[in-house]
Amino acid sequence: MPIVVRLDVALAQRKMTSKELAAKIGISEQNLSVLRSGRARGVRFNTLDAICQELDCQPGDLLEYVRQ
Amino acid sequence: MKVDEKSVVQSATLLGYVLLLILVALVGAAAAVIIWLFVDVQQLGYMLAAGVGYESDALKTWQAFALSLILLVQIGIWIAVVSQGRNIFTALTRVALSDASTAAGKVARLLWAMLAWGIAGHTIATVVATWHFPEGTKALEVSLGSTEISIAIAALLATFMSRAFVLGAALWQDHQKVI
Repeated sequence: MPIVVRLDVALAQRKMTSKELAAKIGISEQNLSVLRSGRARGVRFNTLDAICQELDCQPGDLLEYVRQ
Repeated sequence: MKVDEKSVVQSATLLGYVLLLILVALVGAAAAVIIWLFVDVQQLGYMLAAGVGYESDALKTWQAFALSLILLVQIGIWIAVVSQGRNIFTALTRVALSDASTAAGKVARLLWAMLAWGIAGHTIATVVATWHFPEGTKALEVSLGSTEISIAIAALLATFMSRAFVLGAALWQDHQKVI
């Protein structure tokens, strides 16, 4: 998949664990783990909205297109 | 759109209980027919012949037995339909749509079998019930009424449902992978 999820980097920069983020945005840790590992088939806009609001970042900070 | 499977699971559980009650009633009816068959086969035969529309006091034992057998096969198919119907709802309570699809496919096939036996059984029953009638008054009836049309519609719906469940299963899997 040429779309790479950079959530790990964003979390590390803010010294926040995925467990904390999952609790704050109201999704399960399992789902967040699927998203972080790039195994998700898609991301809902409201999930992206909640993450961006919580991490105070832009969608482009979380997703990156890598040409293969 | 937020997809909440809880309401579907609750409805499926409720319908599963309803079908369980119907299943118990059908098994009870089958048991009653079998017991009645051993207790008073003639009386059962008269009742069934009257139900077919050809009441006669001169019914022989084999005729009564054959009519009872036709009825038992009919109840047997009903039991199979309701049992498979329960499997649909049991699968839905587990949110296992592919299993529900398989069960709906079986229900559809059983409903077609029920329709075929409903027509064939009635035809055979009229022949059996009037076997001892004088020449010229024996009957061979083919019944195609609202009951048969209803069963055909139910079978078509079940066929559609089985295909809809396949599509639903694919959409559900996709939905689960979207975070």
